[in-house]
Amino acid sequence: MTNDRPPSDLSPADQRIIDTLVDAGFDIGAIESPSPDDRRRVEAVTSLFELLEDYPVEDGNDTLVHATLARIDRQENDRSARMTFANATLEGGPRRRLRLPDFISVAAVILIGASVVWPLATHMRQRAIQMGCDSNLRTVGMAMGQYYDDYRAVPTVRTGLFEAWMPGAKNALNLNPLMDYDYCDPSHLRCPGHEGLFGDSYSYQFQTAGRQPIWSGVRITVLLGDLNPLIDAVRANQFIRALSASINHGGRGQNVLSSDGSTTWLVQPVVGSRDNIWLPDGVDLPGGIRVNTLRPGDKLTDQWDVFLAH
Amino acid sequence: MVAILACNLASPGLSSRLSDTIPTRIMPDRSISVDDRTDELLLDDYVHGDREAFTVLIGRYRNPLLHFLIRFLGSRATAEDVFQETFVQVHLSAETFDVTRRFKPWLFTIGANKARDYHRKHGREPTVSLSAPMSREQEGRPFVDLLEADLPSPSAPILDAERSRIVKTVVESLPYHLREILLLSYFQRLSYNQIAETLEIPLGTVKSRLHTAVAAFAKAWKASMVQEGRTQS
Repeated sequence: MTNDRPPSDLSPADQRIIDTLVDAGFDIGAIESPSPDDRRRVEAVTSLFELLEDYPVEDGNDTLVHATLARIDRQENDRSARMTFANATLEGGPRRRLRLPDFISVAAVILIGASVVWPLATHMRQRAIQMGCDSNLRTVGMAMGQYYDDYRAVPTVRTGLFEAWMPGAKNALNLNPLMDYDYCDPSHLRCPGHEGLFGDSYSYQFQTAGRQPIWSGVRITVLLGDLNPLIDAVRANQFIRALSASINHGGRGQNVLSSDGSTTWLVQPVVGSRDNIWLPDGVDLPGGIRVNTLRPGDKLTDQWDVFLAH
Repeated sequence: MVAILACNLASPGLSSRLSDTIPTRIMPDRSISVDDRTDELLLDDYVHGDREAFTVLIGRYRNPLLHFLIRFLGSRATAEDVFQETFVQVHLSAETFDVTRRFKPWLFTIGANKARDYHRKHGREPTVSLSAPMSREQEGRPFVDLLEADLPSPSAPILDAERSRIVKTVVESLPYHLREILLLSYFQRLSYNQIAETLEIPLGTVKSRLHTAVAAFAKAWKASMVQEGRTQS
């Protein structure tokens, strides 16, 4: 709203006459007893206003009326269409029965989507577990290095006490000093791929009195790895396959920690010259073997033989 | 004139507006020809489903509103477009109309707003370029006195078509806000209060703006006639 009340450039007398005319609806006869001067002024002002009637205008015709009504109808139709669309969007619109082709189409889309996404998600999950396991082993490797610096030996509780195949034998207990003396956290000795809250996650080089692996020695050997799948099978008198992969990673392979602190992902449980890391020297076979071919007395004959047990 | 029926109103808004005066809906009296009904009654009938009433209402203002818009906008085609927009707006706002008030100022309020919208979007504000020395001094300030302005008489010997052309030029030389108030006051015979309501400006502003418009129109008319006289000579 503009305040345009500058000093008017119309004479006060003209202003008064204009106000009178507007009040009278430009009906000169309605003005009461004007003075002669006012009468002349009224005529002058009225003549000026009457000029406006010479502005050329044409009357509207019926077409204008009909066009206006048609425009209103269009407006209403557009508004109805918008309302219908909005209702359909908000309320789901008129319900239609789901037909078999609709169901098949939706199911196909879901299956295709799942078939693409599921393997990818599974692979990413497995990869994350594998990386987590590798990280754990590296941490345990550092802990072993520190332990070795302090004691000149890898962690051992008692050698020769445990028989790998005997039920209740716990070679993994030899790892306890790492946790007992705070070289590493118990969580680092737990593979993220190992199901269940309790139980051994990793298998440790079988400790015997006859051999003590040297940390960072001249010869590098495997000291720790994912859970040996054969130990529990032998203890339960089940059929075993010598090249079975650890259950920690769904049978795809296993991580192992070497005595130089490095880690390796093995697709097959074999290192060096066909040394099966799940079995002691002398019973390493490339194919399947029977449990009864192993005896509780089987021990390492080669001090460098890798045999991970728990 | 009207039949008062104790029934539910179709329009809740209308119901609340009427509740202070009469408790029931004013139904159209079919004994009165649709052409004889007031504007307000026609709009009320339309709100309650009488399409013919709206057709009559549009026809009734076909010329007054169209002429106002033609003079205001300077183009018949544009005026017809704005005319339609105006009645579309009337249609959309019909239920909000206060039936105790007059329809005509409301209609011209909508029409003037639509015309101003059009100017804002498409138009350029004209400036008064036609001017003629016709002032006298009062308190050191020049002003127009129509009795002493020696304006060319409207009845001067000039062809009607020529006069129409000049008037059109003069009107279109006025700024929109002056043109608008000049047309509303003279052609629509709106009172100052009604103009203030229509243009949504204070009453004092309406008066001073009309005075300014008359002075500007007088100066432009005189200048045009002088110019025409020179060109004709």
